[in-house]
Amino acid sequence: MNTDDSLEALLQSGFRYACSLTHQHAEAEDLVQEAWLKLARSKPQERHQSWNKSLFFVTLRNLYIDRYRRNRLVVLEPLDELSTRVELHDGPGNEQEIAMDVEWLERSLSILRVEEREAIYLHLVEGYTAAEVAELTERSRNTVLSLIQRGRKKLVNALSQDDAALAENKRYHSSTLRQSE
Amino acid sequence: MTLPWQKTNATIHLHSDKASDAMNTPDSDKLGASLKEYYQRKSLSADSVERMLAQADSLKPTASLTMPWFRRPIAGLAWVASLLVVVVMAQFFYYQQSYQGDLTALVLKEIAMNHNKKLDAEYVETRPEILRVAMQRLDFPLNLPVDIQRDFQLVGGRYCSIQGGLAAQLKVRNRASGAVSTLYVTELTEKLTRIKEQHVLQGSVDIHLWQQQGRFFGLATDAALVGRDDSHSRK
Repeated sequence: MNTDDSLEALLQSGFRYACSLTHQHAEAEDLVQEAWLKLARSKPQERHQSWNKSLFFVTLRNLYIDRYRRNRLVVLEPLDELSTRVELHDGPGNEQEIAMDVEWLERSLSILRVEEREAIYLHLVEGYTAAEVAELTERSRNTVLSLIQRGRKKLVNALSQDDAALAENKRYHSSTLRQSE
Repeated sequence: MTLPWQKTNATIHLHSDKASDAMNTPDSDKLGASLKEYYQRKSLSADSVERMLAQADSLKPTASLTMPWFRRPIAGLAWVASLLVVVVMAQFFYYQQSYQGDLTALVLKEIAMNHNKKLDAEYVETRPEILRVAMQRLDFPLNLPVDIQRDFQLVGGRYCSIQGGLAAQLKVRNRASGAVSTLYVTELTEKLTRIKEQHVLQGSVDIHLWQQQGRFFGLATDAALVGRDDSHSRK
């Protein structure tokens, strides 16, 4: 793999992480662009270190927090303080039965809090352990585990609601067909 | 120190901390796989990647941190300011030099012109101290330098001016040759101090300028007569 290939892989990886934060393509691209330029301007003696994934992720995250704190759009708070606010339903979700298509994931991920989406992305997609995610996001490991757990439950609940709606829809179509016959 | 999460792609493995996480069930593996597939579909366009890579190549590190001090913007301004100072000083000295040159030329011209008029002495007196009493408007002494007294005999004097300042125009005769010269004496003003001692041929007049005892002297002799062993005018 030559340098350009590895840099491109880094860019794409950073972009996916930015997507997990923003959940919007254009916004994620802006974030990546800004972080990329920031690293490109680093001192020569630090420049060779600039193009590593962890630093890129941290830069992206810090820029995201700065940007959204400034705009007061998102306030990142530890989950522990919010745990009582979040109403979760431990539905009968069976993840094996989940028909995960892109649209469903798109919709389901949008209902997650940024912290949950970020933790799920880093853990399930990037493969970081909870401890590593905790260090990267400057949270406690327990908080990260809670974020992942709650995020996953939300996804399952979203599916169960979709399944219920789908079943209802099927019943409706079946009855309509019988009546027509 | 390397942080635990600072690892390369090659060392990243999904669910590498299974024992500690206690949530890596086959279900979560499947969810993870689906999420991974979902995020893998998300990518920057080739144009965006190309643009960013080009930016990384073209972007030079921040100037203030990496450039040598003498190439930084503030240093650049200092260079320009220094250059301006040098230019202004050079102009000042050039002006001073040319002004000084002009002043010397003016004095020489004035002395030569007065000498060529061959005006008679208004006060005829061979003793400088007596002449000084007679020329009471002068505010400087008229005692002559020793070498002038030795070589020349005072004949008389009259008022004149050099560069607007009151001066004594003394007629002196060379004791050896008998040639008549004109000796100009005036107070050494700040302006005249810029004229250095020199021996100049101004037209047909041989002129010697010098400063002595707080006064400015100019001895003018017809150049044709200087050849006759005028030792003072050849100093």
